[in-house]
Amino acid sequence: MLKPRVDPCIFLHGDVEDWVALLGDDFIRELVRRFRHVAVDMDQVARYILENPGAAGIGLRGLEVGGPYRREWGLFVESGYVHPGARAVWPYVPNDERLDVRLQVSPCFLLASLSRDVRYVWRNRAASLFKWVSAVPRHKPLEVFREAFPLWLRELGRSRGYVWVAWTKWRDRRNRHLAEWLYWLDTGRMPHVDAIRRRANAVYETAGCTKKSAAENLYVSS
Amino acid sequence: MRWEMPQRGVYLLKEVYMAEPSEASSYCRGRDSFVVVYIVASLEGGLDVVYGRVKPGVLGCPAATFTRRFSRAETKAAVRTLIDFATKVDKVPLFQINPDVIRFAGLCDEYPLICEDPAVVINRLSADAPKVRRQVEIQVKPETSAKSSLWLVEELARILRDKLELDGGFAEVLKRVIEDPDRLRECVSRHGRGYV
Repeated sequence: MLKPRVDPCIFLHGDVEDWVALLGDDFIRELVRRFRHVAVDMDQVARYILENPGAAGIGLRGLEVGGPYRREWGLFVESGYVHPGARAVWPYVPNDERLDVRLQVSPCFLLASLSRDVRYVWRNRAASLFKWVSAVPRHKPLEVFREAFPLWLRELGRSRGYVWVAWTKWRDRRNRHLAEWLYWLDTGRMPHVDAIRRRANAVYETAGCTKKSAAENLYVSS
Repeated sequence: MRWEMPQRGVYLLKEVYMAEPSEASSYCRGRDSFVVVYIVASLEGGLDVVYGRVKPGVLGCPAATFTRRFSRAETKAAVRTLIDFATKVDKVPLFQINPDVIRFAGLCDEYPLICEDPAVVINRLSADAPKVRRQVEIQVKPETSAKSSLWLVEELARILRDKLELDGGFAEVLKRVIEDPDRLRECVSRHGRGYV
C-alpha cells in the first residue's frame, strides 16, 4: 500500500522534486505506469497533470492509498472528489479589513471532477471567480487564472502579504482560501505543501509586510 | 458479459446527459422490460471506463455489462473504441462526452470540440481563416492550405452531423443559412460571441 506524506493537492504544486520527496518512489513509479500513454517520465507526467488536473483523479482510480492522508486520497481515487476547504494555516495578524471577493474555495478543488454538486459549490462559494472566467478551466488552469484575476488583487497579495490577505474578511469569514489562490498564482506552488517542505519563509514573509516573528509556523494536517 | 451493473468506474458521458435510475426503472415493468446495457473498457490496475446511458444507482431494470480488458499501454485505443461506439453506433453527440476522460486518455488532438472551450475553438477557426484566404489569394503551397482548412471542414462537419442527428429540423436552418449567409452574420454580430 502506498503511503504519501501529502494530500492530493500536490498535483497542483509545480515542483517535481516535492512530488518525489512527498509521494515516495513507489507512488511515482505507479504514476508513470498509469500515465505512460501520454508521458514517458516523471517530469512529463507532472507537466501533463499540472496542465490537466482533472486527469489525475481518473488516472489513479482503484489505487490503494494509506498513510496520514488516507481519507483525502480515498475520496480522490474512488470518486474524484477533493474537499474545497483551505489547507494552509496562516499565523495570526490582527486585521479587520474587508475584501469584497467571494472566493471560499481552495485551488485544490480544481482537482475534483466536475459533477453537478461540484459545479454548485464552485458557483456558490466562489461566485467572484465567475466575474473573471466564464467556466472552471480544465486545461492549464494556472495560466488561465493568472490572466483572469484582477491586477489589483494580485498586487494586494504581493504588497501586503498573503498572511494579511488571509486574515481580511469577506462578510464574517476570513479570506484564507483567497490567500492560497494568490500564493498559487504567484509561485505556482501550494502554500501548505511548501509548509510541509519547511519553506515557511516563502509562505509567510511576503515582502516583509506581515512578518510576525513570534508566530509559530506550523502546518496542522486535518 | 455479466447480468449486473458495473461495480465502479469513470463514466464516458457527462453526468447531466445520463438518465436517473428511477426514470429508467419506469420503463422496466412487466414482460416487455428494457435491458440497460453498459459497455466497459477495463484497464489493468483497476480503472474501468464505462459507457452507459443510465447513472449508477438502484435500478429496477435488468442490467447487462459487456467488458473488454485493455493493458495500460492501450489506454488511448480503449477510450477511442468507446467513443466510436457511443458516437457511431449509439449516435451520441460529441458534446455529451466527459472531457476529463478524453484529457486523461490524451485524445484532445483528435476531439478538440470535446476538450476545448467553445471560445478557443472559435478563435482557432478565426485564426485559420485569414491564413486560408491569403494562401488561396497568392495560390502557393496548396497542400498547406488544404491541411489548414481540413481541420475547419472536419470540425464543421462534425458539429453539423451532431446537430442533425439530435434535431432533424436543423436541416431547414442549414438550408436557410446556405441560401442567405449574411443573415447569419447579422445574427452573430447582434448577439455577440457568446452565442456563436
